[in-house]
Amino acid sequence: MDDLSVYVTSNLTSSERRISPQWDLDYFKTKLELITGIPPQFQTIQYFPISHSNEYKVISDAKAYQQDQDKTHRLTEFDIVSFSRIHVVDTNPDSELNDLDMIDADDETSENVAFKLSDEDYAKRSDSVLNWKQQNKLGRFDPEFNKIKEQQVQENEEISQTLKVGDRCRTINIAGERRGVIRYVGKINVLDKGESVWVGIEFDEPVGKNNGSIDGVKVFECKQGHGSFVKPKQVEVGDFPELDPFGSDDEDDDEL
Amino acid sequence: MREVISINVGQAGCQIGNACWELYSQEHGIRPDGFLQEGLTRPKGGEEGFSTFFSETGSGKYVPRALYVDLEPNVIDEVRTGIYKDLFHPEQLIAGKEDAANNYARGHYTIGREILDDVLDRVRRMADQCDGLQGFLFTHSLGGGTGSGFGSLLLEQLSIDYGKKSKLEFAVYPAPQVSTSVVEPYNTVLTTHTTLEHADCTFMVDNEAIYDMCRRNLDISRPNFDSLNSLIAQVVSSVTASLRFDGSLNVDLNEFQTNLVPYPRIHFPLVSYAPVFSKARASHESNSVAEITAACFEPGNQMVKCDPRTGKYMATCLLYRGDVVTRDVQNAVAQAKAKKTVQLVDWCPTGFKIGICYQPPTAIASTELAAASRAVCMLSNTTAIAEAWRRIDRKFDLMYSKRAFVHWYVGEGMEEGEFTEAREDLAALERDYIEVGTDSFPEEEEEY
Repeated sequence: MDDLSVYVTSNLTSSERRISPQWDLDYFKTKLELITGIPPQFQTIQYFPISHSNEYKVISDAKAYQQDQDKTHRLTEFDIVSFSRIHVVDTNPDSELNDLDMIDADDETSENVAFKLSDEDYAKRSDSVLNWKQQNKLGRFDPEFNKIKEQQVQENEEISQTLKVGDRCRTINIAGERRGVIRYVGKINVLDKGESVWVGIEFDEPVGKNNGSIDGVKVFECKQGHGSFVKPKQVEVGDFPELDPFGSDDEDDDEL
Repeated sequence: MREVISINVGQAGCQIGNACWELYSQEHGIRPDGFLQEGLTRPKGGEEGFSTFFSETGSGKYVPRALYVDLEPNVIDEVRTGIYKDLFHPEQLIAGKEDAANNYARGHYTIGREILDDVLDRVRRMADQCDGLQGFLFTHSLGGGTGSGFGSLLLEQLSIDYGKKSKLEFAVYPAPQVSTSVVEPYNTVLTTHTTLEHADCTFMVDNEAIYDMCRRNLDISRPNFDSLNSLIAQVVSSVTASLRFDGSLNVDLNEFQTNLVPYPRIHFPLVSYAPVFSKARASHESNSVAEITAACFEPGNQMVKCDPRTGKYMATCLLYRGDVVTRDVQNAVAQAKAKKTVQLVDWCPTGFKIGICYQPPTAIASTELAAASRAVCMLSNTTAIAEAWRRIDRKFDLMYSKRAFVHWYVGEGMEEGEFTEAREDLAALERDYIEVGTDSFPEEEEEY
């Protein structure tokens, strides 16, 4: 008899596997252990003739486990069909598998057991990208790169000096024009470790990203969805009164 | 001549190999018995390209430059008795007697060692038949025993024996949600560590991403390995098409590495493919160059689940095939570059490399994928793929903190220190990707 493709599932695993109907139950269980991690004596095997249906019969119950008995049964006895499902239940209440469920593992547990590579150890590695960048003076190790970066920061700072809290302003991007009032000009530590100057805007419409707080730190206060932080370069101050949402789209008409 | 030897290792590797060689044969007009199809006097695609993947015997029969290796006999037996049994020389199909039991250590140390010399011998004989071997194309999975354990052992050895020859891999990567076996995270981390310095370029495919594509785009309600593998084969075929067909732009195995890999360790490009449509839907789709190019930037067309919008691109290759004109491609690429979601690394040169092969893709009659007059495969080296490493590393940590199942490996003669060594290497890889993504010029359009 030819091999069959079946789905083998357990709490932690799911895979398509090939089984041979010639195998005896004992051998099959050793195979299932290698896939699911459940030792034969704790395996209760459910057979689902239709893989996606809930109907099943129990092929082998862990409560009645006898290895000698298993050796006398061949899989042919169970009439397993192609693309059916074999589900293995772990009957061991103290199973080590209980602790391995990624979905159950909360962030704290994951964080506690996570392998941590210290900055020093990473810096010691000769084959790292960090080492390559250092050796070849790339990125922040390139004086030219830093010069351009400083220029950009400086430019932004110069523009920011022309912006005052309370100014009417607008920003224009791909999505269109948005108008509002400047509520904050300055560095924001939580955002980029105080690297550059940001402008906090309260928009007239709920077209922003927040309520003036960032990562729980209140920078200014406005209604949720009306606040945003953008770079000074994006901001244009001037006579930009609130747009009438029910007015015509065409500004020229307003002036007539 | 620039021959490429394909090496398929383990169950997944061999089954993907089957799907690939079925497709290659049809694309070049070769019958399952290795002879030309009725009415052909020469294989399709031109001598030069064709001979990189097939050799010709004196009798007018063509033989794939391929090797199948598995530690257990069943999958290889199926090749020996299947419809392609006459395509391969029996020497190309190597099977052991005992499987690797989903255990990297068995594939790498105990069972795998026994078969290694035999395999190297066959590789050498195949290499001897080549005038100018350019390299090897591996297919294997990372999560099982043979593909991960023996696959990495073989890659190590090929590095020693064939030095600078390119080694490209197609690797089945564990799906994000459900593991195929309880020790899959161990196998993946161990094999990735071992092969990191030996493989030049690794294209990963995660079964969950392919599974979703089969369900969503091909309307297959319950995809099995055959459905997944035939889709993977289309992708592999797209990547290798420029090597196999004359007159293509971008025709060297080395070029993938040169164009895509800025630094040797960062060699895991994300693969996307379009169009993927079922036969029933195909007539409603126009599949213009612009559309299929844009589709490659959609997460639903990716072979690995991750979010490129959160990452930075180091390099991108767009490999078109079929009815494609350069001007359309240039426009499509310009559009893609203008996307806000496509962020490039600032501190090293990044580029969009284009490959065009005028041979359209071939649809296999028995599969759901519709024929298309053109297709594109995008290979992009993006830092977003580090998500995949983070996921598997976290699973590894959870298990290793309890030393769960470590005895299965130690029992095969592996030292426990290899676990920590491998894990540290992967931690460094995660850091490498972060390092690639840092050092940007301030983004002017950022908004928080």
